[in-house]
Amino acid sequence: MGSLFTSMASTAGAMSALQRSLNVVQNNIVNASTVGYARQEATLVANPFNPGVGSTSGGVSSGPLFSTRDAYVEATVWKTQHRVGYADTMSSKLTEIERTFPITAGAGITGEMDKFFAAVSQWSISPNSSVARRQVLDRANSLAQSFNQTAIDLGDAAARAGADLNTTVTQINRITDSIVAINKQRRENLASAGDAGLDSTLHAKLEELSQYVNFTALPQEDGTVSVYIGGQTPAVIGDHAWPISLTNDGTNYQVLDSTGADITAQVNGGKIGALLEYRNTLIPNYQSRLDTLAQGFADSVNNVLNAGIDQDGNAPTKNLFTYTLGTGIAASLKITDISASELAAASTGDPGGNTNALNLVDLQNSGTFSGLTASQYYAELTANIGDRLNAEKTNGTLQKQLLLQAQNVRSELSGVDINQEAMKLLQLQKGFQAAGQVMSVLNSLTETLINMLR
Amino acid sequence: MQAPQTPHVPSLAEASDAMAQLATESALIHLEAALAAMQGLSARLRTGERLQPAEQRRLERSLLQFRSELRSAGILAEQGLAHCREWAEMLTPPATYQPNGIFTGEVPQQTHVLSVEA
Repeated sequence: MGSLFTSMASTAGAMSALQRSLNVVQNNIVNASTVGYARQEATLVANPFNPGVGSTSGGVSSGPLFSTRDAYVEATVWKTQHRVGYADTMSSKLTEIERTFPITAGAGITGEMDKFFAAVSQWSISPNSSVARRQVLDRANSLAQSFNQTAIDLGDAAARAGADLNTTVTQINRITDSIVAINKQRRENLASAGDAGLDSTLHAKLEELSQYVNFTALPQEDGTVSVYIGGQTPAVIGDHAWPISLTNDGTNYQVLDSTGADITAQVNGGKIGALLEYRNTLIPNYQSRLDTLAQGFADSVNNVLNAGIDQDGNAPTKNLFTYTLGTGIAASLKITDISASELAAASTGDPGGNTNALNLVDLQNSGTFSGLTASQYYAELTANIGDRLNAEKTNGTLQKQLLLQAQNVRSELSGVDINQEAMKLLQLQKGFQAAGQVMSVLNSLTETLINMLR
Repeated sequence: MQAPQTPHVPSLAEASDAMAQLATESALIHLEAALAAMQGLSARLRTGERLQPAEQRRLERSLLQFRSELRSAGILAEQGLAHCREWAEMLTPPATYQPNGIFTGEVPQQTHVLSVEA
């Protein structure tokens, strides 16, 4: 501080450094709740002070800004976030499906099966009662309609999943477009790579993306971030986005990259991963098992009835149930135009008897489905849905706890402790006020001294 | 008879540097030291101590320099207080606060009010 000039220059530099330090703290406070924000810390660097070599300015100046962001912790948060996205979506979808397969007494397909067999049992007691025969036809019709409704509900669920997939792909592309826009700003202005606001926006977008899909984000030297869906397929490179798309081959949905290549196998996390598995694997599996149940039940009932003779002693010429292969057996199941009198209650050689009706009653306890009765097969299907739902709910709870832990670790490393910042503020404020008071006294004293010398 | 010592006018450089580094406690120590030194100088001059004209001019220049440093330090303190006031107004974040940083997807409308690089 050899001269007035160097003293002033030093003070001006120090003021600039002070202002910057305060801005950093202020910025931390303002962004305490900003999604994706990482606390920044300013550094001050002492200027050289060596009069021997002519360097006499001294003082301090601003050093580099440090972001407290930890790439490993961020990646852990994203990884856990896409697992939560997967579990939540799957739980939500399976809850819809579970309602389609009610297990309460008297409801759904099993309820209708029980009512059908109750009517058959009543018919076996009064095999020639037209009322009992009519009741069997009515119950068979209700059972067929119950299969139809369940198949329709499954079809609707598949359609909703398809619509959700389209929305999700749109969301993913919207987010990757936002990341491209940020990349452009960072590339065009390298200085902005240290901009805490831009950085927090970028990381908020990446965290949002992690709910939808599994990905890897790699920071590049030019300040941009490259995003690879499934760790392999480029979605963002520099200032260019590579949008994904969705296609349906008539059976399954496929996710395609920007060149049209099928990347479905890579997309196994987040909301889209859950929707793909639900739409392409689970629903077809449930539909197939429902069709197996409908076909097995209809065939076994038809076979028993066709083995007997009708009320007039004739061999039946019509099946009770009919369905169409290929368009969904459960969806097409219905009763034929068979009349009540054409139902075969008696066995050949026992006209007017009830042997065949009793055989039909026995079907209720027959292991038609690989040793399982129709009710047991249905129960296994519903139990399978329930088990998967419970597993996803448990997984979701666990993943949310892991996410919370990861977010807490991130908060400790990168978050802004507003109380701590407020404490710093109070201390500084008191310090500056006290300094001002001392300087006021000094000023008055200095003026007095100068006047005394003149 | 021993010649009187040349009165010493302290420098505020250390106090300014401390304030620039947000070390207001350290700045206060230097300011109080300067105040004590100036009070000592005031007492010597009030007792009628005679200075040689050259010494007197040197002392006057030192006092003018001190006043200049004092003004610079004063600007620093005012700047600091002004920032503290703005800072205090911003202590309530303009966004919905998310405890533990839990991501809800609700991006606040007013993010990043100040740019660090600005």
